[in-house]
Amino acid sequence: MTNLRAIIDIKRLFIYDTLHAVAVRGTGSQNAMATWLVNQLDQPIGVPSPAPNDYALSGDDVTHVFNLSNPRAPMETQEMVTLIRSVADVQQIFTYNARKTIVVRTSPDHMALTAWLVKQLDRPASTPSVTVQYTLPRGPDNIVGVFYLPNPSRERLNKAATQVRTTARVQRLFTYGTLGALAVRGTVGQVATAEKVIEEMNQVR
Amino acid sequence: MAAWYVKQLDRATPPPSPQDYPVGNDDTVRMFFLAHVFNIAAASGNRDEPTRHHRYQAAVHL
Repeated sequence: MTNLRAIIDIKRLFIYDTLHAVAVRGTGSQNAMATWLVNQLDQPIGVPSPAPNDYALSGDDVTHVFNLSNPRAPMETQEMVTLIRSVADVQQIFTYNARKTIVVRTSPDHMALTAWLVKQLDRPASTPSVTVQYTLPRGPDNIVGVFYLPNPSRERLNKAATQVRTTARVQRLFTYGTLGALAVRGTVGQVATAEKVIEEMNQVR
Repeated sequence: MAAWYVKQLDRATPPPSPQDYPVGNDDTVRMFFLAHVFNIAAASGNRDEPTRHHRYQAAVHL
């Protein structure tokens, strides 16, 4: 369970540790969402959150609880979350490390990209990975590419990130060291340039 | 309402979860008693880390 207050958008939330109690004061819809989210997160370790993992809110937003399949150290999960927050433009994204869970609240378009990024990054480090792309339905920087460097060191990954950032002139580039992955968001041309730079780097390794 | 809070919190063991108290104007206080989440401060994003006494007071003033 991570940051109930922000995800539910509720101001009056208090806890009483002695009884492991959480009290919220809100409208019917806020309390319904709180009930869903508590049920998602208050499960025994190792037991996946019960379906459905999606909750549609009034307005455009949806909330999703992602149960990660591949165990990560909290720092690794945090790096994944930083990448997703920046590349997918998601403000409300939180981790609950005890359950290897990520909770996200955003629009359906951004949630689709978030789910795609989680799928690319939540895989065993030994899995061979190929370059993949995602196209957002609108916006100038609507292409997202995820590139993988085979057997990268952190130094090599940082060097690749610097080179791609400079050559492709992209602002949004983030790395995920566990898989040696770089995620780039930009125009078609920028992402194509990024891919070329990575290919060249992989050839000279 | 204060009496309801005291009744919920002044127990040796938690009651069935959740417990509701209708406040009016579509507002309800819902109190969850968690079975598996034990570090609630971290889980709820509460960074203030109030003392147990303060948490009790805050709940009573909800």
